[in-house]
Amino acid sequence: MTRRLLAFFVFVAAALFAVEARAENVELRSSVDRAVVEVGETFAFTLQATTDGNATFDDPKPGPTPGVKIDQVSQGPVQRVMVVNGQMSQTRGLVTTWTMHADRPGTVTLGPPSVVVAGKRRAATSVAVTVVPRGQGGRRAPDPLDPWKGIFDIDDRIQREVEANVDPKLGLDAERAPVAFLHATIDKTVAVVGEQVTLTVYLYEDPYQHQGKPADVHESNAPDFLKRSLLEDETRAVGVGTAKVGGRAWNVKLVRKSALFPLKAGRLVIDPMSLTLPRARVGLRESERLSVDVSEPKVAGRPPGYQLGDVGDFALSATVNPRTLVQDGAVGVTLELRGTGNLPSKLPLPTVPGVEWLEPQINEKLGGQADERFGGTRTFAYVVRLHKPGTIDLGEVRLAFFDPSQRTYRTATAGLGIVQVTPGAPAAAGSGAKDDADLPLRALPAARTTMEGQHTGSYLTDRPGAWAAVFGAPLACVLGLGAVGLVRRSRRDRKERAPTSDEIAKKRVSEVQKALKGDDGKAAFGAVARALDALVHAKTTISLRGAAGETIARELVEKGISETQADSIIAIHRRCEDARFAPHDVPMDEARAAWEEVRTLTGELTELGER
Amino acid sequence: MRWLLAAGVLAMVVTSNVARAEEPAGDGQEESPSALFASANEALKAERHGDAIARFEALADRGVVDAAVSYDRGLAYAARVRAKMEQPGDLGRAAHGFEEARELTHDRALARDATAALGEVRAEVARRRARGGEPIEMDHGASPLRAIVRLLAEDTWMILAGVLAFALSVGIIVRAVAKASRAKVAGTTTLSVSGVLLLTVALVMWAARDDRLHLREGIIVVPNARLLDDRHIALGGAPPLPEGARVRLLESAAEGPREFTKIEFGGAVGHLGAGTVLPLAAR
Repeated sequence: MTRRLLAFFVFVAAALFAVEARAENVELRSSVDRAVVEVGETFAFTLQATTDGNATFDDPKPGPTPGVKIDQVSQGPVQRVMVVNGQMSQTRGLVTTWTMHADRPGTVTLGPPSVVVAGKRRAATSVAVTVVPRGQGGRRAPDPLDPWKGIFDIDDRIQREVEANVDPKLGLDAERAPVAFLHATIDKTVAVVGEQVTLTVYLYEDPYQHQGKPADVHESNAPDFLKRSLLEDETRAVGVGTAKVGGRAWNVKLVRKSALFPLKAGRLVIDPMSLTLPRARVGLRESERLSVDVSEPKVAGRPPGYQLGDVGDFALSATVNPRTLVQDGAVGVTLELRGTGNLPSKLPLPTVPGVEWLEPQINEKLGGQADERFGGTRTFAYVVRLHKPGTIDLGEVRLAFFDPSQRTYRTATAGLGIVQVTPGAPAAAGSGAKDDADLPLRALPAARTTMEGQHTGSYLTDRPGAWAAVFGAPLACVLGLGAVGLVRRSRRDRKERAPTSDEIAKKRVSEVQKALKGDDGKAAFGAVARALDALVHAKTTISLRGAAGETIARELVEKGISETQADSIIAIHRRCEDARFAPHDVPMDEARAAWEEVRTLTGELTELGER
Repeated sequence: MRWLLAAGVLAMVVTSNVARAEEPAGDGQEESPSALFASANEALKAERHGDAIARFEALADRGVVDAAVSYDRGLAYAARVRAKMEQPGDLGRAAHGFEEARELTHDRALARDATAALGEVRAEVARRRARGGEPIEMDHGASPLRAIVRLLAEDTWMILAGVLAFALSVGIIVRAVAKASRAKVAGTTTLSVSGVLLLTVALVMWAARDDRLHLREGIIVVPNARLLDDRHIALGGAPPLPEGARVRLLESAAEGPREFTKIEFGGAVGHLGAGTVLPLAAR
């Protein structure tokens, strides 16, 4: 029973599965058009979803595509009707193709891609693609099922054709961008003002890719240059050959060739040219930003009248017609300037009294010449009025220019020759006076015929000594007077202040020495007593006069004098006082002895006094 | 005889009219400045103004800074205007030559002539502006301090300062030493007056030196130049600047690869195209 029941369930389940499979019968298949691609090479990743039922397919997604950029997505329905043995079957579906390219080598797993089938998202299988560096892709293996056996192997044919015409001058180490890129060059990076710099812009195209027609073209901006095209037609790119770029052959087209004439000195920049390739969908393509170091032509040897920017190789010729005319009539002067380079738009004309040059009519035929030089002819047609009668020498036109090929100045000249002007009808009375009155700047002074010469640029204000003298003199006076005043004041102060103990002691000692030379013993004792007092005062700041003996002795001891010495000092002082006031004469010898005693006792004080 | 004369003239015409191939400038030896100056003067005398101008300008290109060259260059431009063969900017360049000559010269006669010629040029510019209904004010004058500074030469100011310093020193000594009250009063007066004057003169002297070292001026050499703002758009309401006007250069185009020069004229500050203003040569 159990077995039967199980078999029944198995049958039902199988039947249900079969019904559903039959109802859905959805097939999802993912593929790439080649398994090995080169970096930058586009390839197609396709998801094919088919059904023989009524299921619908919506919202196809490629799934993860690491390291790969999707350039384009295309999708479309497919429908297939087959009749086998009189029985018709119909298949419908959706094919989605993602065109993509990889930027770096490696193995990339694409997908799994998915699509919504009858409201439910279903995925196909992942596909692996090997990305190899440029030029290592090798020949694509022929498809064994291909009945044409490579007869239409276009890539091989392109490669063979391209490599046959490689121009080494156009070669580059590496491509600047995949699919197509712009490359700009200049023929020189150092130039003088007005010297031609040739700018060339090439478009490099990968022969394996379809770039389509360029669009959104922006010219390279060079505001510091006068720009002139060397191409007759800039609207179409001209193929100039093929070049090896990073080991692979690329087609090269000439897009622009321009002559740039620097307008000023300095490092002048040429901005990049840019364009887009809408069909390839690779974004903006820009050429390089370039710079030119521009300087002025050398000053040495520069001829008078040279105008900055007149650089090239010029020649002048002139025709004058007619050669005879009536006063105030006109002749036609045609000056033809021809050559290559920056042809000036104005010529320096000779100034001759009575000759009036009217504004010229200019015709030019300029463009690219041989050796990629810009040039041609520029014709100046003047009407020249002659107001003075007689034989008038019109002079010559001299155009100084700098020849960059010779690195020297040259002058193109054209003589205008002589015209004969016959006197015309006399002017109305007073008109000459009126003309003179209208003449501007009538009262100009005379010219100088000798140069004044260089003056030495020395100024007193540049000399620090001059500034020091100007401000130093009064300051020195103030300081000097101040110093004198200070000296005087110090002397006066010194004079006015009380003598010091040492000074008094010194003075008293000298008085003793003076008194001892005399014969008055009392006076000598008095001097000795005063000297002793002064010496002790100088040493101890204690005055022996008017104080009791015991008090003095104690004070002397306190000042560091031994008791014996103190007693002796007091004794000698008393003896001197006694002798001084004795009623009888005192012998000088005693006074001398007392002084010697004082000197012995107060060795230091005596020494001080004698010093 | 007439036939002979006609034949001679025809021969001259034919020979002179033949376009000569371009020739190297000079014979390899550069003309000395004095020779170039002499030839320029000859051209000026012969009324070959364009030639004269080219030669004077060539001297300037060689870096020759000379009052007589600047003066004669101004005369050449002015003469071309007088000969009614004027080219735009001739009046401004004439004014530039005369102004430069006045700045550079140590010769009073040349300074006087340059001033007179400058007056002529400015009068002509003013006359033309008046005809065009434009303001004829050519020169707003210098600031009061700058006017005082320009009263005397820089060295003269220094000598004056030296005299005042001496007077001040004497005043100080007299005041300090003299016993008599009259002498003391005289000393005090001398000291006070000369002290104040010395400070004033020292200030002027410093300003004169600063002017010489830092003030850069130029001449407008384009008719009716218009002041531009910082975005280099013409300032609204500002009248065109007169040709030949002297302006102060605040930022010179020569200081870098600039296309505009910042200037000040009559209190108005703005930019002008670098070719509009020609800087005056400094002494």
